[in-house]
Amino acid sequence: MAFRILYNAASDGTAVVISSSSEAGSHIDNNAVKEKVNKIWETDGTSTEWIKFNLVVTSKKVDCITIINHNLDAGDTITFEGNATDSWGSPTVNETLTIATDSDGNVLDRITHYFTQATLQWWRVTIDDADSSKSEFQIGRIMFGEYYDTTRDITADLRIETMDPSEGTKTPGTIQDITQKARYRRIRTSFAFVTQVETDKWTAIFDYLGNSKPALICWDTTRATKDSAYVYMLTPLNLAHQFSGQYNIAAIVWEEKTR
Amino acid sequence: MAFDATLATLDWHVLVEVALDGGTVRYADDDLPMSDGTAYDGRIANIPSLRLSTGSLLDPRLVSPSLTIALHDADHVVRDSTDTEEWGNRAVTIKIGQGETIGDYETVFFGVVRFPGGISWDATSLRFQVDDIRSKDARTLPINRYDPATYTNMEAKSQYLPIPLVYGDWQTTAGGGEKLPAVQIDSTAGTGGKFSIADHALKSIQKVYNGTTDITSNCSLDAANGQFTITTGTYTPATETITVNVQGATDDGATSGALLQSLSDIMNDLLQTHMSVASGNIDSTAFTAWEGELGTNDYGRRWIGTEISSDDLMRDLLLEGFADITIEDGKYKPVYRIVNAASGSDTYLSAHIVERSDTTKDFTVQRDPERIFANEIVGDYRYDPAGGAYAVTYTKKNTASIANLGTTKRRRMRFTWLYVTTGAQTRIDREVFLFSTEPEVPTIGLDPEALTKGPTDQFLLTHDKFSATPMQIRTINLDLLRKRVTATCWNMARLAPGRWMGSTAPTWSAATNTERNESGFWTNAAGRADAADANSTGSVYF
Repeated sequence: MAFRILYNAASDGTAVVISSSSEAGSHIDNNAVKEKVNKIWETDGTSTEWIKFNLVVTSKKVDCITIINHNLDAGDTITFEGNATDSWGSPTVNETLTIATDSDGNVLDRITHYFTQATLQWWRVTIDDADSSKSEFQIGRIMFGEYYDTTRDITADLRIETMDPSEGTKTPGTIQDITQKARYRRIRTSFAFVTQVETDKWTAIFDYLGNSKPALICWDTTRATKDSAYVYMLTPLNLAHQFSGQYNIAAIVWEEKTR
Repeated sequence: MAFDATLATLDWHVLVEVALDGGTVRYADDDLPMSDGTAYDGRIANIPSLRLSTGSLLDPRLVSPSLTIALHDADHVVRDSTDTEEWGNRAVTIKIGQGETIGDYETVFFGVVRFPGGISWDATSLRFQVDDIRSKDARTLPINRYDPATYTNMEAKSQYLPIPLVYGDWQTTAGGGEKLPAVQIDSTAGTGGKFSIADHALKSIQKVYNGTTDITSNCSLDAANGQFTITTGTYTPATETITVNVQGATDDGATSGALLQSLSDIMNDLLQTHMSVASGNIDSTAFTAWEGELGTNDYGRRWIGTEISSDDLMRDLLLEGFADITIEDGKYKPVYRIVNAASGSDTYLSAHIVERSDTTKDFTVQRDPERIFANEIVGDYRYDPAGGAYAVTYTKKNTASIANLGTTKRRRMRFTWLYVTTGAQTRIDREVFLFSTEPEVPTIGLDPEALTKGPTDQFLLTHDKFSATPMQIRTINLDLLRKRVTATCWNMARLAPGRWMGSTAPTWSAATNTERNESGFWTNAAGRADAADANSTGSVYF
C-alpha cells in the first residue's frame, strides 16, 4: 500500500480552456471541473464524445486522473490522451481507463487511474458507447494532475466507514418514510514518525486544501478505483512531535463527496 | 417512474425556481442535474413549513404563507444576482418529487418574491420571502378619484371622492329600485352640468333624478363613459342631489356587452379588469363551476364608491356566494362549498395518520374553534347607496336549537352583493341550517401521500368516529424537507348542503355515507328519509 494525494490539480487551473464535442442544456462541459460532483457535464449523444482541456501552459505535470459520478457502463470505452498540441492522431499519452465494478457486478461511478508522468499542454477524455445502450454520457467531475506519494505510508489503523445519511422518522414496528441520501465514505488515516521534510509537505498540503478544497486520495494503488475517494479534509492537521525531526500525524478524517 | 409519494423510500427533493428577467434560477436541497437539461443548485438551507390556508369559514380569503427560503450563499452568488437583477415580485415555484427526472416532480406552491422588504442576507446565507400571487395583485379599489385638477369645474362637495365602480342591476325593477349617487364633474356643460356615475362603461342609464323628480328626458345620456349631461334645467350642488338607476359594468367594457351580475362573473371581472390579473392566471373552469352552483336569485350588485381592499371585495363575494378561493398552479380557483369527495376520491384511513412519539395517532378534533355557532341569523340586504342604509332586514331562527340550549346565539350578516329577496333569504336560511350545529374541525397529521393536497381539497376520512366522512382541507402545513403534513379540515358531512337526488340515486337505506352527504332525500312528516331509521333525519332541522 501507498498513500497518494492529488490536490491543486492541473485540470482545475483558472486559465484552463475546456471544450467538448457536445453539451446538453445547462449541463455544460465546464461543469466537469466544478467542485460539486452533481454539477455534471452531459453530452447530447454517445458516439465518440470528448472533452478537451487546454492547460495553456506547458509546465503542468500529469500522472493521474479521476472521473467521478459518471453513468458509464462496462460496455463503454474511455481513454485519456495527452499531447503537446491540439492534434490527436498519435498523442504522446494514450491511456485506456478501466471501468470497475463492485462485488455484485454493479459499475462503480468513479475511475482513478495512474500512469507515467508527462508534461503536456493538451489533454482529452474520449468516451464511446460501444453497445449503444444509452442516449447520453454524464460525468460529474474530472480531475487530473500530479499526485504526491507519501514517503511514510499510512499506519495500520486505517478506517473506512461507509455512511448512509438517509433520513426518516422512526416509529417502532412501522416502515419508515425515508428520504434517500447519497452514501459516502469517511476515511481515517494516520501517519507515524514522519520526517521533518514530509511534515513540511503535509503542512503545504493543508495550507492549500484546508477544510474547504477537494482532493483525490488513494490508499491502495493496486486497486486505485476502488480504494480512492474524492474528498474534503474534515479535521485539522494535527502534528505531534515525537523526537528530533520526527512527527506523528494524528488521525486525519477525509469525507468523500458523492453529491 | 412518475412521482409517487406512497413509496416508503424516496430520493426526495424540494425544488425552488425563481423566474428572473434574465432567466430562471433553480435551487434544490441538493445539486441535481435534471433529465431536461436543467441544473438545480443545491443551495437550499431551509424551507420552513409551508402553511396554505383559505381562511376561516366566515372570512374566506387567501392567507399569505409568508414563507422564508434560506439559501447557502457563502460565495455571494445569489446576493450578487439580487443586485444585478430585480427579484421583487418575480414568480417563485416550489416543487416536490424524487430523483433527477423532472417529470417526477409536482408543483405545490406558486408565488412571488415579496416586495418590498423581501430579501436579507448575511455572510453565509441569503433569505428571501415568498408571498402568494394575490399579494402582488391586491390593491385598493376604486383606483381613481375625482381630482379637481382634472375636473376643474366639478362640484366642491365631491372633490377627491373615489370614482365608483358599479356592478349589477340598479334599475327601478331590480330589488327596491335603489338609486346611485351621481357627481357633477363639469358645471359648464349643458344647462345643469355633466355628471359622472362610474369609472367605466355602463350597460345602460335608465333614469336620472334630481331629488325625487325624474329628469331623464332633460338629459343627454352617455352610458359608454358612465356619464350624462343635464341639457334642460339646472342643478344646485348645495341643496340638490342627483341620483340614477343604471345597469352596471359589462363583460366587454362596452354598452354592447353582457351585464355582469353573477357573483362568479363579477369576481372574474374584478380580478382581470381591476387587479390586472392575466387571463392565464384564472381557472375559468372553476369559475364556471361556481357559477353553475348559483342561480339568478343569487345575482349580486354593488356600488363601490368608497375605498376598499380588493381582498375584502373578494371575501364578500365568496362568503355570500358560499365559496372559498385558492391558488392552484398559479391560477385563482374558486371552490363552491359542497361535498364532492365522491367515491374514488382519496380515502384516508387510520393507517394514513402519522403517530406521535407516544404511538398515539396525531389526530385531534375541536368543535367550533372559530365560535361561529348561531341559532339565529339577522341578515341585512339590499343596500341603498344614495340613502346610506340597508333596505331590508330578515331574521331566521332555529327554534329547536334555541329551546334546547336555552339561549339565542345571534349573528348578523350584511350582504354587500346579494339583493334579490329569494337569494338573500335563502342564504340566511342556509347559514342557520349550517351553523346551528357546531362544526367539527379535525387536525390531522397525515403521511407523505397528502403532500400534494391543498386548501379546499376534499377527502374521505375513516378514523375515530368518522366513516367515509367528507372532509375539506381549510389549512394545511407542509414540511417539505421533512415530508410531514398537518391538515386542519372541516367535517362537511354536518355542514354541506345536499343537492337534488338524481333519478337513479339510491334510497337512503341503500346509499353510502358519501351519497347521503351528497344527495337530498324526500322525507316523511317526521323528517326521516327512511321511516324506520331514526338517524335519517338530516334533511329537516327546523
